[in-house]
Amino acid sequence: MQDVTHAWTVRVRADGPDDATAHARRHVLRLGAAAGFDAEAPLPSAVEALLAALGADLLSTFAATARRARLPHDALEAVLRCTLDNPLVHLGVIGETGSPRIAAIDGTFYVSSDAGTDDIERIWTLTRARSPLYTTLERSVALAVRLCPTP
Amino acid sequence: MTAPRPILVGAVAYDPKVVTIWEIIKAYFEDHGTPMDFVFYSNYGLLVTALLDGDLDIAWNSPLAWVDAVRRTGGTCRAIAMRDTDRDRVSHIVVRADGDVRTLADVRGRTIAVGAADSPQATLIPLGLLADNGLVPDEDVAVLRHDVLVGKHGDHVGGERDALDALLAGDADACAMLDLNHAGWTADGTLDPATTRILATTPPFDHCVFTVRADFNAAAERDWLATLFTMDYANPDHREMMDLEGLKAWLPGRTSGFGPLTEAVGRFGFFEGRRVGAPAEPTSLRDAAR
Repeated sequence: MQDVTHAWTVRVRADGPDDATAHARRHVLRLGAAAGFDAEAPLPSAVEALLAALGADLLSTFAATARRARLPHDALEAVLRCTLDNPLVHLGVIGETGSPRIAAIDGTFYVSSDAGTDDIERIWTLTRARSPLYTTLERSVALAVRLCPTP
Repeated sequence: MTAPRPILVGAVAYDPKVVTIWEIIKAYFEDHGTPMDFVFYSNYGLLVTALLDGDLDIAWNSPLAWVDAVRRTGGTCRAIAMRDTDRDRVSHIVVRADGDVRTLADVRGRTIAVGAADSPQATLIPLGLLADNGLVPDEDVAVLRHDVLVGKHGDHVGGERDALDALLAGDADACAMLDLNHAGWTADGTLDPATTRILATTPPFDHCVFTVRADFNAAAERDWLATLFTMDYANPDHREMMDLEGLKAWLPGRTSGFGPLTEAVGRFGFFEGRRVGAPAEPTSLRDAAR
């Protein structure tokens, strides 16, 4: 196998409780708690960032794959949600058992396109196979993202 | 000069939202110069043990945890504060309006659906009402228990809700629920007042209470209570926190409202490990996962 290793580096600095700044090259990303439960929290949590990263990966990979296949599309959007096995373990509740791991991720991947459904599904299959985050997460999490083509 | 040691308050958490509420309360106390912190436990048995072992200063006890603390301290623990909504609660026994259960005596030979084995409001006190009226649970009346999150003393309404579902599905002839849940489920349409009715109501009882050991530092207690009682529902900055915790005013703790539960606990041998009724079979994957 050809050596195609490339490493990515992110530096993350704590700015306070539930406040971190991540630096990726010259880009900056601010994040809050590991898994926030307050709807009014000022920053997205690490769990939300993971979902966002998965969504961005799928959108980008689908767009690139569709472009190479000359499949036209007007808009792409992903809606993702996840649950933890036992969030109370993460919160340090004494006596709770189980794991704070992400137990399941599900969602919908919307494709607005005039192309045929079979063609869109073929691109979606390639997308999932080529997505770094999808292929990583599907090995450890119950991952179910439904394709929803719309004209 | 070192900062004063935070007063450590323990509570049971059944949902992450509980932690959010306590984060807000903690910030309120710190803003008022009374540092406090909190520790969460998965069940009230652990909470009471932590209080009695000195790991905590104050425990936010369920009524059953209060009765347990009284039992385990020989009556020396103290109730220092409670919500206005903790006082004078009642539970209802609800039946189908079109059924033939017209009086409490009609429940004889039938089935009552209740909440978790350790729920004061949905199991112990309502069954005590039956016993007061000559209906011995498991002898004169079959008891169908819904053990959701046992150890949390019915804080999670799942068992109480399952008991209502059992009534509506025809698996039981009556069910028990807290007045607040009856009102809430009537308001949101879960419970149809046209097809159900209240058959009987328990005597009033008190619910949660902040509990301390007899040796809790008097100055710390005074400062903590002064800050707690400063919360004012008329103050918009306090209202969200009080709404989340379900109260309009904090009141001094009182011990006069635990009679019905104390009596039921003794009658049914709860702390001797006896349990009233048979647990219901899970009816769904959701139930089975609990």
